[in-house]
Amino acid sequence: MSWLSRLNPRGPGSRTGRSAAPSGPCTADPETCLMVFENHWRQVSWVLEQQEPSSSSDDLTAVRNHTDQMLCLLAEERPAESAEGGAAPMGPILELVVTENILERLVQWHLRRGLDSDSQGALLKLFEMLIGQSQQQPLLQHTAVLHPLLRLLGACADPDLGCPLALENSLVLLLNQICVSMARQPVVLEMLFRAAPAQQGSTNLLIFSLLVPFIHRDGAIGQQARDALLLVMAASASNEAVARYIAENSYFCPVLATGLSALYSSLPRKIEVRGDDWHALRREDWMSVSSLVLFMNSLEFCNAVVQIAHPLVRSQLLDYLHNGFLVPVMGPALHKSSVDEMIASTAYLDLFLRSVSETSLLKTFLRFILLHRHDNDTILDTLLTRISSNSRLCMVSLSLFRTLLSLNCEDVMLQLVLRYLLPCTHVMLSQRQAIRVTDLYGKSADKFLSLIPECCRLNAASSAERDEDGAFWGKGGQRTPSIESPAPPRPSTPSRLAFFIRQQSSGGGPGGGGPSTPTSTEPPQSGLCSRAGPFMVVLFAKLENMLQNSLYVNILLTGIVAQLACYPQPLLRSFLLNTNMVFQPSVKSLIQVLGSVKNRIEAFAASHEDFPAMLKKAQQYLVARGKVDWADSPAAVPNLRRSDSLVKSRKPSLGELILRHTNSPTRARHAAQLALAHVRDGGQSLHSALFKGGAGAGSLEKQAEALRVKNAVYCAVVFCEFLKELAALAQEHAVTLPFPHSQEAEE
Amino acid sequence: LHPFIQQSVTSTCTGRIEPEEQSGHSEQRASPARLPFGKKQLPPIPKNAAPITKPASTGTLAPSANGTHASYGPFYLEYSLLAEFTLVIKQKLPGIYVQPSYKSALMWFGVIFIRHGLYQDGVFKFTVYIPDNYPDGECPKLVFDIPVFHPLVDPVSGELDVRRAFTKWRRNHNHIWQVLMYARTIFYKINTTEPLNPEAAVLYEKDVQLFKSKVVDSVKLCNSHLFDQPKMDDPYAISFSPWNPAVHEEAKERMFTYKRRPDDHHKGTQVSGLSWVKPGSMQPFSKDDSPPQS
Repeated sequence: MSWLSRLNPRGPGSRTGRSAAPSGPCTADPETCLMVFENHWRQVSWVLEQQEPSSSSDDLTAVRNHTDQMLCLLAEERPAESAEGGAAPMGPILELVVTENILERLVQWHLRRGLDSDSQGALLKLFEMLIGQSQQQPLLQHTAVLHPLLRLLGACADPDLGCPLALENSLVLLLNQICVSMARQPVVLEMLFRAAPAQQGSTNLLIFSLLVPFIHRDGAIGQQARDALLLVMAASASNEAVARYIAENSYFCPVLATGLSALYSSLPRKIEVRGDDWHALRREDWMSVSSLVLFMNSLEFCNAVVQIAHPLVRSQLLDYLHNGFLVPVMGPALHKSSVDEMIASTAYLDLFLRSVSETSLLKTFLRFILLHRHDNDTILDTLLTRISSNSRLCMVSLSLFRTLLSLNCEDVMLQLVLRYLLPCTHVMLSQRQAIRVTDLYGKSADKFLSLIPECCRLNAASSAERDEDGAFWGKGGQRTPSIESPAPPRPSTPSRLAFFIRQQSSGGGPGGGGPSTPTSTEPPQSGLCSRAGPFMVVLFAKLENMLQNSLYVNILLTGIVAQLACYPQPLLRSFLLNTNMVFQPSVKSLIQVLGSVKNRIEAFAASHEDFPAMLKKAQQYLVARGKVDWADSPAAVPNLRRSDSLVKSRKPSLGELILRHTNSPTRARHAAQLALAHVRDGGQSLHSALFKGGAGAGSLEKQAEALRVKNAVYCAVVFCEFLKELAALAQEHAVTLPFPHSQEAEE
Repeated sequence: LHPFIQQSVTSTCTGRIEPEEQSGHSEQRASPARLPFGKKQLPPIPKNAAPITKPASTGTLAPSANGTHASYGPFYLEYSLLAEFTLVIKQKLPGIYVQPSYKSALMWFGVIFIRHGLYQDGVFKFTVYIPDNYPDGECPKLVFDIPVFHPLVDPVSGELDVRRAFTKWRRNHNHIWQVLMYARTIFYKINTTEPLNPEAAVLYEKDVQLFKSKVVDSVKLCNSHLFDQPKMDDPYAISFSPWNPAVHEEAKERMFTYKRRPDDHHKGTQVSGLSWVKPGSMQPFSKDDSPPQS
């Protein structure tokens, strides 16, 4: 994870330039250094030994100046030459510091005379320099260094004195240095933990308590605090006592989890988007929304803690996340009554799922989604029903399910599909043994391809130019193997008669005045189809309605069905891809649904004589989009998780969907936007072509009709590609072999 | 989705290694990009493509109801053969190794090791020819590179009499692995009826000692040509080379390591998926709360 690696370059070594202390004499030989040090100390101790703590500012200045010099010398000192490689003895300065207890006396002196924030800040910086710079000797391992440091920190935790706002940066930086140093010398953690309460106040692990309040801070200070805490987590991963302390005596886990809740509540309730294709938050979308950045930082931190912390801390944190964030905050947020809020919370949940990489954290999220009941329904059930909605809510919900499916999680598959298929009540009894049969000779593939409507086989001429357009469906290779090709050319005299006959039999085409399919789709929620489970029912219902769906809904929808069809499970495979299976009469099969879509497309085409031209334009538009997608450099998209699952969208999202402003457009992005504008023009020409001379102000009715036509034409394109994809998947299943060696052989 | 493509059978076998198992996946070698079987996209217009396997008689290919998809025929054929090859691998036929040729999916190279019986120590290379109207045509042909002295092997062409075992090739019932299995069986169970090599048949019946010595000679002959260049000029033809530790030791080690620790691959295959379902349960998150293996 980036967290730890990010820490490394920030070693003290890289900060030498920053060091405030003068470094003149430090390079001299050890004896000279000791002499200089003793000289400074003599003068300091003269002040310190005054009976009454001096309030003179001259004294203070003198002490500070000398202390600066002394600590610089100490920081730079090398250990004495060791005899025969044993533990290197202390250097003479350190030895003096230890025997005279110099640092303790210094800090005590400051405390006795009343620590003003100026001195406090100076001391914090001084210790930070000392710990950061002292590469040569393990200073913190000496109580003569550690205890005064803790005393100073204790003053920062003092409820009366506290840490002034202006010193927070210094404090966190010092704590960070201590943690870096501790990460190198694990024994320091033990010493810190065991240090007498006198030094640490009421807590056993003062540095930890001091850091916790900064967990959710914005900016560099928050980052340093989180880095430091992670180092403590890493160092304590194998220390049961410290872990127990963190879990039982610190507020770390509750602060972290409830902090997420607080941060969540300040996220935008409504996601402002302009593009009609927007369906998921990508990094470029949320980077400009500070509240979301803050949330994601904390979530990333949780992920990192779960990754490295002791199991005790981990399981406590996961509990708090479930009971302190997911259940009380995410749950209600997903059930808000306003559609905008549902859209936002669904998109957030999707983003969170894609961002989490730790298995056990993912499990916490999944458990919440699959098992937690809010008002009697599981989150999963609630999300399912939204697929059938008619708005962007459908798209964000589909996107969430795409993310869920891409996890390849058996628990998810079980709840969504397999639990319904397992009893095999969806197939005729005589068919059960056919579930395992593999289709060796491409029968299913042939069947799927045969569903490509005649009216879509016409444009062979344009296919040559699409040869290099692998981008049609998005970045090649991310999805399952798909056959990137239009249908084979066919003679182009479709039988009008046949079309009309079909149109009649299918209950009136969309063009006619007959009963057209309702555009607002309620899934056929009869108990009849539930044998395949509500997920399949809602997907199939949406699929059957393809002709009315927007292009983007159809791309997401067919993508999800294809994802399911990839799953190497005989039940699912046979349910979706075995076109010979005979189901119970109440169970609709995919092939039936597709057959119905085919009929509708053909009926539509028959009633629109310019269908071939529109189809061709739609294809060109999509090809052009695909090219923009390539231009939109994938490198800009962070690899939060599995690269394949993150942005599998087969279309560009580009700048249009930014929550507020698009800032920081990279050059590639800029180019892509320009390219998109170009494509848009193409889209416009398609649009105007659809209006056919109706350049005048279209009535609402006309606009609705134009939209309907547009959706139908795009549907035809997507449908054909989808059939080829299913055909390809059916074939791949026949040649797939779980190969025991594959992992090893790929090394 | 078909991982064995990336790690298809090695084209180098070694004379003295005879692992028990099908070693189709045992060795990784840089092999030429395989046009026919690699991941690929269908060309826009199937009929313009140069399918791996140029069928002589397109008319009989993958019949489809209305003929609209006839142009996909070669691709169905190719996938059917891939599926057959997958079945072969699943069978783990003892002592038999095959791999499809680079140039045509209809031609498979193979080698068979005989471990006991009359033909003990025999190492016989062969080629399988699959008819281009597969699976609706005749049964595949199997021809030994060197005609082995055997009643059912043609002494001139080296062709094995496969047809007697598969009088009619039935799709869905007959598979290529059965042909391979049959080719192995003939060396353990000698059948002399209606022989392609009458001399061998007669000797076996009348003078087993002479038959045996002829077989020994034949085995010696075959093995003496083991290191010859493959008969077919094909990158995936099976070729043998003498044992060379620098080349073979590591591969052998890998093979045997795998054999010794068969559990390892379970971990490997789990990498991409998650599950907290207790085996046998239909409840999500029913597994003990121990940290999941990942």
